[in-house]
Amino acid sequence: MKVLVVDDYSTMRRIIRNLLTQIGYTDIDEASDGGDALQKLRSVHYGLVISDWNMEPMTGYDLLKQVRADDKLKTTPFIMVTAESKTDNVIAAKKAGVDNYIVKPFNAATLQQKINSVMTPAKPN
Amino acid sequence: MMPAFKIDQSADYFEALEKAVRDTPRGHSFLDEFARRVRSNDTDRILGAISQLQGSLTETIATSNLEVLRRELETMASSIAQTRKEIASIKPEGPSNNRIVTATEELDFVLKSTEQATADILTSAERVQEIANELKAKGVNDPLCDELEMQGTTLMMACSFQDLTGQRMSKVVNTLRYLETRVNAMIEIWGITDEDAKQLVDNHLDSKPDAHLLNGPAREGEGVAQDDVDRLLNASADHEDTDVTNMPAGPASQDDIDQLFK
Repeated sequence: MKVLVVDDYSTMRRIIRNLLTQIGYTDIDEASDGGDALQKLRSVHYGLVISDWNMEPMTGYDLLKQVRADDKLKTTPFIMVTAESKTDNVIAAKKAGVDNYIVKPFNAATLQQKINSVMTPAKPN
Repeated sequence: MMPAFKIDQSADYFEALEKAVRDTPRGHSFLDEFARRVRSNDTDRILGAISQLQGSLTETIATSNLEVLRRELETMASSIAQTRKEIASIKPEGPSNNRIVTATEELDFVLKSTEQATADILTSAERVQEIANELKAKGVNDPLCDELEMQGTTLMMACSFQDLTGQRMSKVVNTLRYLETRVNAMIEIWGITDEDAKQLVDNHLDSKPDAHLLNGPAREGEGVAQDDVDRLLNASADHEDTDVTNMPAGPASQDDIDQLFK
């Protein structure tokens, strides 16, 4: 299963990629903002999107709304990984259709737990 | 000519005279009209006095209000003048001496330096994980392999600070850029001259004797490399009368430095 990691910080993309590899997901692509991600999502099938919120020009929130509005993409599991930790953000993301929400900084166990809850019963690769 | 007539001013005499006049119809009418006129005059006088008093009081109150207003205006004028001075002190003397721009650039450099340092730490953390895996692959069955792998992961996760500090710093940079725009607008509105700015900047200058040498870390392309410093320090210390007139103001090349020690 292909996973798309979306974050404007290469450091975070690298960290998430490493963690995903540790827990068994090795087919990973990266995008640096929502627009870049949307382009990739429309050309390749991904089984999971892990996205930051605060990016330019297209935010992770806008990406989420675009994904949910697209008939071909709307069922793609979507996890938001972000430093935006206000209740309003979480509620907005939930309303927009996010499957789970991780607040930075996070640890490997949290990422694995959230992925498991979203992907069950699907198995890595 | 009428003969002098001495009037008895006692109350009894006055009352008797009034009664005698009032007892006649013409005298009665006269006394009533006289009393009405006297009352009217008194009322006018009292009203005049009240009006005068009122005018005097209003004037006092108005003067008092004006005084308060004047003081408020003075305070405002003083604050505006002070603000103008402060804004003038921010005004750049030249394109390379804008404090806000400099602060913004410094933060940009911090962002880049942190990103680079984090990338280096990440590389090391990943290498630690690889070593743990290589050891396991070679059949080393030691709990230290797991410990190494775990420490590598912890190191890597700690690097996520760069994302958070980066976002916070980006906010500060954006705020500084906004301030720069507003300050420039105020400078334009107030017509602050370069001379105003220079005078005020002089007052804000660092008074430390070595202030001219305190520039913080050098940026890329500025300053000299460690190798250059080492060469400088390792060269003979006998050349105190070194001629620096031909040295460039910017980064010094090794040839320039060598010239100092000939």
